[in-house]
Amino acid sequence: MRTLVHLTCITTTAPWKLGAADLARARAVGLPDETTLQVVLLSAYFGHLNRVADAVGIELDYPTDLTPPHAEPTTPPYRRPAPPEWPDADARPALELACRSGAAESLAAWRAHALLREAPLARDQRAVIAYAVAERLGDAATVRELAAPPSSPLAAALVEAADEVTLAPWRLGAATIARLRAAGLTDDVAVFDALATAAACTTFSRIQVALAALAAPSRV
Amino acid sequence: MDFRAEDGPIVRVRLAADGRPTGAAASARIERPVARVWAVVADIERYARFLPMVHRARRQGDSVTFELRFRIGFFSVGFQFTAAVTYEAEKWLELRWTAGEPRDIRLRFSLTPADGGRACLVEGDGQFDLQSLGWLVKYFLKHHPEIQHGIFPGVALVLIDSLRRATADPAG
Repeated sequence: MRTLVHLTCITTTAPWKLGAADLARARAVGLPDETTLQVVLLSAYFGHLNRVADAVGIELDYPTDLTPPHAEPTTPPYRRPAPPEWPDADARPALELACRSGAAESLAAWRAHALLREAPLARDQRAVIAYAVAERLGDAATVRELAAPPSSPLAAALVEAADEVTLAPWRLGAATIARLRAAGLTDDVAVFDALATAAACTTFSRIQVALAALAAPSRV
Repeated sequence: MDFRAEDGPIVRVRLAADGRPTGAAASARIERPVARVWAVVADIERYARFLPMVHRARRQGDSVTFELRFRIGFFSVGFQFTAAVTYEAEKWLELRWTAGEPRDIRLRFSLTPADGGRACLVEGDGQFDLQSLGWLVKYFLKHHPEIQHGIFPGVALVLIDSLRRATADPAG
């Protein structure tokens, strides 16, 4: 159980810090590779769901005896890895998505749906978000795949939102939405699409980075 | 919350033939006797005090009408459903949809004594028709259908975690 929690925490906070030693430790305590892969996939997916919840500011609007958890905006953001810390995108992963049936296909279908549509956000706007998220998680493969964002007020607002979604989702709120609206996203559905697309991209990049990192020597 | 690997999966998600999720059940151990947990489960009108989104619950015989509220950054919605109550005291209680939204909702608590009656194994089970909530579809699922895979596990976990907190609350 401790190994599951360890893998979950590192995948969630600093996936590039995973290393071959973590995979060896998982194997040593009897975790099949398929289970370790599932830990990475579920951690990344629930990171998406929690970010969506943070992004839309779900609140209780009635009195309750039991106080819900309180998001503290002054909590420091997660650390953004410098490029030398990024896992090698060309290294052969120590864990392949293929070791869990259907995982690669499902993930590819979701990624295509999230990044290749033209509405509510345009496809190039989705690419801006994906690039920004990838940069913040050390996902060299996606940064290489996509072009650097163009300079425009909307692109800047999308990058800023992606930054917040990726590194400090507890800060998401009315100010985030106001910045997106001021930059031209006036439709609520488009605003939600921007935030949810960023959250989805954290899943794609987190998985990419974690699996690449598990093949590398562990980092401190 | 105490989870033990030997107790099996914490959350089980049910899928339709096409792979879409239709419901989920979550299990947990509550360090309270069954009678204490049952007292909270059976007092349906007090669900509003510990179950998120439940604004009010009004019981008339074996029928309960729930008023729910949900507010997010963009909008606020209110909706209600009526459910038939069936139960076997200190074992299980089920609420099954008869009218309103979300359609076809079914919520169930199952209790099993553990450790000679000192603790209770609880399963919370929830399902409903996701497509019956127009606002949920419009804002969330139409463009980000992957979210539906998190809704039912969330509902099931909220059921048992809320119950755990309520049974720990001296005023609960």
